[in-house]
Amino acid sequence: MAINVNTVYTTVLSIINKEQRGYLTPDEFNKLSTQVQLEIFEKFFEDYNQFLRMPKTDVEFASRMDHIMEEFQIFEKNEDAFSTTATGVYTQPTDLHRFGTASYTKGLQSPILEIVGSRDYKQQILSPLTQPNTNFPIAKYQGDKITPFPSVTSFNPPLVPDKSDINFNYIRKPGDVRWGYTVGSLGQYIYDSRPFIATSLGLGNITSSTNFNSASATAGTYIVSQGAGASDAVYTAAAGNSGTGAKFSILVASTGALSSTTASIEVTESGSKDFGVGDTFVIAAGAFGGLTASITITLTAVNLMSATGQGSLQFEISESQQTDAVLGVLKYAGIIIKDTMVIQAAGGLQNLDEQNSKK
Amino acid sequence: MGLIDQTSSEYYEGEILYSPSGNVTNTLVWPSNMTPLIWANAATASSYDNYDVYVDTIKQDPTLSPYYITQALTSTITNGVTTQSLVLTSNADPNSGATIPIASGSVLTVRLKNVSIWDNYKSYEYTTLKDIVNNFMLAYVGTDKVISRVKRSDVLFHAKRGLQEFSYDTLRSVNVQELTIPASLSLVIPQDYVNYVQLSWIDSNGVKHIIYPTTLTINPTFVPLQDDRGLPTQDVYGNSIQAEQAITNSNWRKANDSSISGNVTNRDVNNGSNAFDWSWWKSAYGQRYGLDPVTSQKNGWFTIDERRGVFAFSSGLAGRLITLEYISDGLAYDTDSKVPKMAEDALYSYMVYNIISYMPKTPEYIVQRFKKEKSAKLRNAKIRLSNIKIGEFTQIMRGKSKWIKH
Repeated sequence: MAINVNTVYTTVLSIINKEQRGYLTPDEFNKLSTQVQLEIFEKFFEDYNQFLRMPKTDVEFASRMDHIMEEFQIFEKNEDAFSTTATGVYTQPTDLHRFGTASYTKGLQSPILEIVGSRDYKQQILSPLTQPNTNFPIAKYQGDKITPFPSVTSFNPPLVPDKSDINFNYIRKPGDVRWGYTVGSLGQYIYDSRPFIATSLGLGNITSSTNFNSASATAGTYIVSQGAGASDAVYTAAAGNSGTGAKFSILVASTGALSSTTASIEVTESGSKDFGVGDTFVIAAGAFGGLTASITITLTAVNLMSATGQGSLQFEISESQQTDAVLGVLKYAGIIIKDTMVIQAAGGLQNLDEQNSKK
Repeated sequence: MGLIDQTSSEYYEGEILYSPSGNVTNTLVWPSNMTPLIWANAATASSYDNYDVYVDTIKQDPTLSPYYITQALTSTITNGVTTQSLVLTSNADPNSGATIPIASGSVLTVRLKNVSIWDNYKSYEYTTLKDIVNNFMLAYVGTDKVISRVKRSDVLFHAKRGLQEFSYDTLRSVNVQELTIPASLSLVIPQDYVNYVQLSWIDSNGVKHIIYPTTLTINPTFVPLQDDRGLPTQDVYGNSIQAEQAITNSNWRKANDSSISGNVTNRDVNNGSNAFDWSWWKSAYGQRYGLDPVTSQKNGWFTIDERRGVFAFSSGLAGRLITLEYISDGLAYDTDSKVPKMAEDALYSYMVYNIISYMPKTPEYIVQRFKKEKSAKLRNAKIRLSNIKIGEFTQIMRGKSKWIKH
């Protein structure tokens, strides 16, 4: 199970505050956490390599190799090629971080492509015994693209290249860590455990994006959900968007004409992903409290969650790495707050941990 | 999971039964574990199709009433599995114009033709080269295994080389062609020929009689036309001109076999033109007494003419039915690339040894260990493939002075 970002943040803050060493803002923490997670992630592969060369045990729970594989299995993915050309050159998936293998799904039983350099390729096709075929295909891997041999265009009958011809097995890069928050009434940061979805709506006031169209209404608080009914906020998506599930709270301070001073509209539910700039919500006349004309909300970039501090992204590395994560963030926090003691203490503990694991 | 993936009916009959849809078009999916269907869309008298379609046991063709079935075969590959779809379409009767769909109560049968079924029959005896390489990569290559790292193309190379070597002296991969010797007394060497095993002529009982190679004659590899000084003549480009036919070959073809074998008749003797003419004035070659066992047979001789790429036969064999047994290297055709299971382990050992022995820094004792293992397993494979059965052996020995009990 992955490390909870709030646990790490609060632990780091506790240590720093206890020692009177200063405060680490969420933005700083997010950057440091992402960096620390990447460091730990990269170390998996070095450790894995090292464990392969060390004496091993197969005993359950004692195998370091099994343990380290368990750590990075969450990042392992199988995906078809991102795109292909008419000549059969396939682009790797965009989130590929470490290439594992590529399978040729047009070969019998999807054989693994043997990756060769240009020189090896030339040599190999010169030898009659090692000519590539659908049972033993080879591929050149250059510029994040794979060119398999034989190409599907040379089959009998020829096939049109499709991105599903090549399936990549790879390690993706860990996502950014984000400690999300909303701002409390005292200006304090409150942990927002909802998952961060960049294209969902940010909670909060959306009045500035609203056109009241000279409408008037009766004072009161009204809840309007996204929908197709007469009392709903009817959603019209801009090209490529398709958000659902948004909900608004409309506060009319005084009966009469609506304006940004007499009324405010807040997003109370962020809805799904895929909202975007240019999307509109129209609340028709009569939808609530004697509304005389329709109200139109047109989304701008600031209305999306990506423009706020809301929504959290957890660490993806497992809980067994929590100590390393805390120490890593602390080490970098020490640099930020210019405290060598924190750096040394955190660094020392990390080294000790490292040495113990390699004994 | 067992290794056999065909049902008994698929294996023995080579056929799949379908229930027609009752529509004009029937789409039949051919199982991927069967020998793939082959259909030449532009069918000609000589095109090769490997299956027939039957409706209620009646073999169909596009001119047969009442369905006038035409067909189209398509293949799709998904995740490495080829799926073949056979689309059968009923067509209008050229006389009445009516199109009759195959009734849904009928039975549609797609049956492989004999050659494809025969290919299927012996498939369990062999392992494919693809499986050999895949098994090898799985079992021998990787961390904590005999070979820590090797490219698959290297493994493929050694597997194919091993198959070639085994084909020459271990595997029973003897091909036999039945041919008739034409008046030219020459037969072209087969396309996948590596070496001959035996040539025999077949008598009316089907019994074979071995035709022996001979060194009595020779096949010149270069036959220049000479000028009166004995020098080769050249064409306008400066290349030596060669004769179409060597005189040696020509003479050999005209030779009377009995002159060589000694199987002479009175007429031959009286002709006085053969090597065994014992006239006193021909005593120069009358120095032989009796018959030379090497040449004393009447089955005929053959030589291999490398210049023309043919087997050349002696004159007495013209018009004879012969069998040509020869070995190939097992790699000529895709379907060839299979290894008898009895030699599978020997091939793995051959591959391990060859890969390890060329790896730098491999301790010599390791190399030697695998060398011994390779030799032992090859010997085992040869014994297995030599197919000695004690019952047959005993039967043979019954014709000898020593009887073996078993």
